[in-house]
Amino acid sequence: MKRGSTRKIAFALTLSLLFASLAACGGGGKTGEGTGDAQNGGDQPTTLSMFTFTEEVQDSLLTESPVWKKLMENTGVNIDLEVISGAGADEKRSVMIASGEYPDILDRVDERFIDAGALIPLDDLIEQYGPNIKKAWGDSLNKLRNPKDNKIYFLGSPKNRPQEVVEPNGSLLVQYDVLKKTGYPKLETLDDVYDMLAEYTAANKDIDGKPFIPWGLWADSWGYNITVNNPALWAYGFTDDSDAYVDQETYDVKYFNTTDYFKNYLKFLNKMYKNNFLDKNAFITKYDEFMSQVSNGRVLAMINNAGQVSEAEAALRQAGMPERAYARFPIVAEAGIKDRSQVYSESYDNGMGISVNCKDPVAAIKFIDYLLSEEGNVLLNWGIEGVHYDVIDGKRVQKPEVTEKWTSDPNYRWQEGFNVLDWWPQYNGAILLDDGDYASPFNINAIYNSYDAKTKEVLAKYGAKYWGELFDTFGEGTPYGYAWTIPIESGSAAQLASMKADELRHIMVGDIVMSPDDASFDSKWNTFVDKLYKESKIDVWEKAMSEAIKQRLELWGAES
Amino acid sequence: MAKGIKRKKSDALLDGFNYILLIFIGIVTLYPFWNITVLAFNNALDTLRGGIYLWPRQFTLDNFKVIFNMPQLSTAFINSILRTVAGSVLSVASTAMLAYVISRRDFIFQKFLQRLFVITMYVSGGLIPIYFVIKGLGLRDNFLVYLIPMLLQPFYLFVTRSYMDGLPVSLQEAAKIDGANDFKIFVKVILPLSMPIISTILLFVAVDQWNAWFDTFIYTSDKNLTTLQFELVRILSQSTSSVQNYEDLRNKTTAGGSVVTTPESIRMAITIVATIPIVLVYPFVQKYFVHGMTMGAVKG
Repeated sequence: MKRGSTRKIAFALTLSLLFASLAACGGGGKTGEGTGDAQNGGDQPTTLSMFTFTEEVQDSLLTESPVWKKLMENTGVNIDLEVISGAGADEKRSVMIASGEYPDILDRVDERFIDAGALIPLDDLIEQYGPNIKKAWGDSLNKLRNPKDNKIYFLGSPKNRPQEVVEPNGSLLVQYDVLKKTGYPKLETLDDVYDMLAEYTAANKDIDGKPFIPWGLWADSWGYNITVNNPALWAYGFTDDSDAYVDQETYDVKYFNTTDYFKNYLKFLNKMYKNNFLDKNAFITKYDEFMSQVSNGRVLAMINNAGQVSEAEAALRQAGMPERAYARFPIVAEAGIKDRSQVYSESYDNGMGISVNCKDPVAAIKFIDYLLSEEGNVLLNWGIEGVHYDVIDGKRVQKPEVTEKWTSDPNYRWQEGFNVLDWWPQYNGAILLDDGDYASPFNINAIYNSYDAKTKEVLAKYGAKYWGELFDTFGEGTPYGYAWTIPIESGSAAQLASMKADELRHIMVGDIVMSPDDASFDSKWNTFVDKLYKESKIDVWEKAMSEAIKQRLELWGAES
Repeated sequence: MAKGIKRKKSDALLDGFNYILLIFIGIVTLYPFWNITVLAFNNALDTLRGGIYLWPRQFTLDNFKVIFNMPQLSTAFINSILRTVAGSVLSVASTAMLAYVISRRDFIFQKFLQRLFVITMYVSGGLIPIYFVIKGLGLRDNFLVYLIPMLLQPFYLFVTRSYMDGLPVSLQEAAKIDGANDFKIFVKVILPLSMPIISTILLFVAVDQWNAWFDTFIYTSDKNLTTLQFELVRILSQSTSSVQNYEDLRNKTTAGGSVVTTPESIRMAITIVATIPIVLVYPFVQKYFVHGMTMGAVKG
């Protein structure tokens, strides 16, 4: 018995040593391979390693795809792509920075890599080798300059051309059924929404035995930003400045949650609450509970990011309740305010850069330049002519079988390699290229064809072909971009203040909304604002943001 | 004998109470796992609607299809098995040998070595220094990076040592008189007697090895060295980010019924895939495992 077990152990030990040494040899052989390509002559393609911090990249599908192979062929470089997964990305970044082991190209990196000295300035390279970059970016290149030394370190997807927004994101969402039963009312102000909900709930109380929640809120964690904070911004005609209220003349910043705009929006929520339009647990509802409410068709209307409910809408359609999916509308607090919720304010906080270790920066910048050429842009977004699209009457048209797979199989685009790298330095979406045609197949027709019958029916009632048509998408942005793209140094007093303020509003705002009368609403509001300044010291943040915005304006104004 | 001690009513009551309590605890510990299994096999969109507790409402394998479509599945799986088998056997071997050495009172550096190992339990170099050590040793992109750093864990070392301390010294003396050298004593006397603790440690290390993904992430970039857990982590973050990346969402098509599964459901399926293989190991070592825990507890 014992003898047998010792023998078994000895055998297992030998075996494992064998495994280990075999594996070690295998591993050792591999490591030598990657390095030899640096000194290649002109004929051989240069191999450039690239790390991307975009975690959704399905690199194993992408790098085998026909479009990727064509891209390598056309640019004459060979990109060795590695994806840094989201979990642990911070540690990986620290290790990379500490060891200085950068790949040739770093993708989706932000100012932390600039601060670490990982990237080389691109100004001269662009000047010499980047005709397409210069053409595409134009004056917007200034918006890429690093505030510290006025140099350009990374390039993202340029947003300097008007985009016909096809799918609005943060907007008023209303169930089709509510619209239908109330006679497709014209919804302009918050009061219109209130009246519509009052009319609907008077006749319709519940669904499958559960009461309706006329106004949906998910105020837990960052849901606060998209269902409480941002809705107030949209309602008063601001762009997505997140926590900042920026005075458009002096560019002084106030914490948005201390302004009267926000107070008035809370008043609206308070009115909703007093009429039982809010769920009692609205401010503590967790994400999965909220999703369950939405996917059971209980939430009649809300202001939220449309992307947040797309899964729930799919669930509703699957459960045979397509009339409970949501229409998207612009909404303002009172007549006269102009909605700017979908207006794009040009600003960039990450992109693709060339590392200090790059063996061949010229090849790298030429590669990036190709991405911004018309040919590169069409290849990356439309795919290969004759395979993925045809040119009919001078216009690019996606092949029907491609469209079908595109909308039904989420992996298809990765397998083929087109229309996936939308943060890369290239145009995407419903933007017109210089040849007068769309930069990407993702345009009005494509989106219209993907709608179901119910959606088309509702759209027809409002005289639109797609939801974006109801919004002003070409409106005026802000000269400083989105305020949220301005980085606040981590660990600074300003950042601490904003964290404290965030905690405070999660605790107090729900209480304010659930005030029984105006007197207690006002007193709670005053305490809240008071505490923001006295306890959270939000004025420190306000000062830092004001300075950063002014600095950015100065920088951007420099040469434009 | 059976009737020697009369059972009182209060004994029966206590037994009954114990049964109920233990059944309750059993359910409380088992239920979350059962619920995860149910959710993993339920249609993802249906799961969103909530209210699934005991049985899948709409049975599907879609969530698992996403995982098993993983392109590097076979490489990852083989690597995970390799590192688990080789890693746990090597680790147990070195732990047992060292434990025997520091359990010997006649070893002059016993105290010193022991303290040296205790220190490492409380003080760690941190990620970046460790990375440099690994790199300096040439372990980057090398399969040995899965084995060598995990060879010795002080906690397991001390557990094993305490167990060996409890073995009668006279056994070793007897073996010595019979002409056995130190190594022979270790292999022929100590090791067979320590099987309970050895199998316990083996299981612990195997679970550690099986669950490890961070070393793959930090120390390797060679796709041939990927492991199952690392690929699972990647699938999870891929699916989560494609939903959470709402700033870019306006550029993506999300309409049309193309959603088959959700990050939450993939998470559930991943939990199942990651857990089942290692759970299957338990019955085989359980015999020793239970024994080992109790013996160690009494004697240590």
